Amino acid sequence: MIFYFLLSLHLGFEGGINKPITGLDYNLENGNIYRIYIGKQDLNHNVLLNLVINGSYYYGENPGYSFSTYGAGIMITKIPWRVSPYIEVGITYVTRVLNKSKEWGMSFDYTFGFLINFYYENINIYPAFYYYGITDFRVHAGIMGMKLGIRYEL
Amino acid sequence: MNYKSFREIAIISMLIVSCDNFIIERSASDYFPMEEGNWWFYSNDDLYDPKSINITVEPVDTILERECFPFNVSGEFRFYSKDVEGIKEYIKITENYGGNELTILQGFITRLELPLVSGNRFTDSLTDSLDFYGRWIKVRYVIYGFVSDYYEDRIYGGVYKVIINKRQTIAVEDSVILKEEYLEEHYAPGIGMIEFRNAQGIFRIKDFHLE
Repeated sequence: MIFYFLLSLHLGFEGGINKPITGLDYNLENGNIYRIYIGKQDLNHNVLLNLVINGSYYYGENPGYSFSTYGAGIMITKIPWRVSPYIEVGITYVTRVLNKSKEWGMSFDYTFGFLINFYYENINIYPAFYYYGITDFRVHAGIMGMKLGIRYEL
Repeated sequence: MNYKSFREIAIISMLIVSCDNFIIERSASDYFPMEEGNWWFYSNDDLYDPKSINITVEPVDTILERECFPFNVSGEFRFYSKDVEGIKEYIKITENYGGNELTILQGFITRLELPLVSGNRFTDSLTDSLDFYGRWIKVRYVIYGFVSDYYEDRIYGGVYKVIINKRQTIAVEDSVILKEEYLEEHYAPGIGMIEFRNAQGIFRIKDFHLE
């Protein structure tokens, strides 16, 4: 049973760049993101269900300032379309550092965008474009991003 | 209520509670809105010696080839500009000689390092030495800043408290003249300064307008 379950899993890595467009654009320039996920196909609904761990680092306009996020979430991607939409929700640990002073907090985040899928045997390579929203339920900030991902079916 | 509903409510509650230090508000808000036409009105709470201060942002001006906003502080003008490191204030120190006011030091100095982060300390200074009609003068102007605290205000949201120490030293051959000023300022997101304390007392915001 476990063997068959493992056989249906997939692993993925993603990396890309983010550009704050609302809220955070006041203090931040570009950011880098890195993500790793493990997931499973749900053929009843033709979607991929992924558990994601992600991180990002943003450079401040003030050279002494930086903003980082470390999060976990659930990503759902439509298959088997060439251009497939996806959504993701999760929670994020946020840190902001200016010189040697640091603040932290928790936030809720969501993403929606689309992937352009290219397949080669068990490997799926895709560029993706998305909108990433992050909120503490009082203020919302929006970020546009693009990433490149690779997914391997076990 | 079944177990599943209880679990969902518990998870949502934990998520909302975990966000209650409003880190995104602190990261995404403008704590020093500079726009022509903005104004803030402050007054103290002293019944025996009531005072009020009105601060208005005037149209953009250029000083030392730098665009800045004149802040009309109850008739006295101060000039501020914003750059990637924060708010810079124009400082001009003059000395009287033969009935004329002559400038012995001028420039822009960091008044507030942005973004505001609790615990951050910043300092900036202007220094010059000059031969002033046969007397050698050394002038120094220093600002020490400390973002000492962050607290939740039930009206204005997440507020930062900043302590500022301004120190002006004019040293001539046989004497040193020192002027020192301590300020405590409270900044709210999207509004700016909501309270300050100086040598005249504590002033709180009573009304404001943002363009």
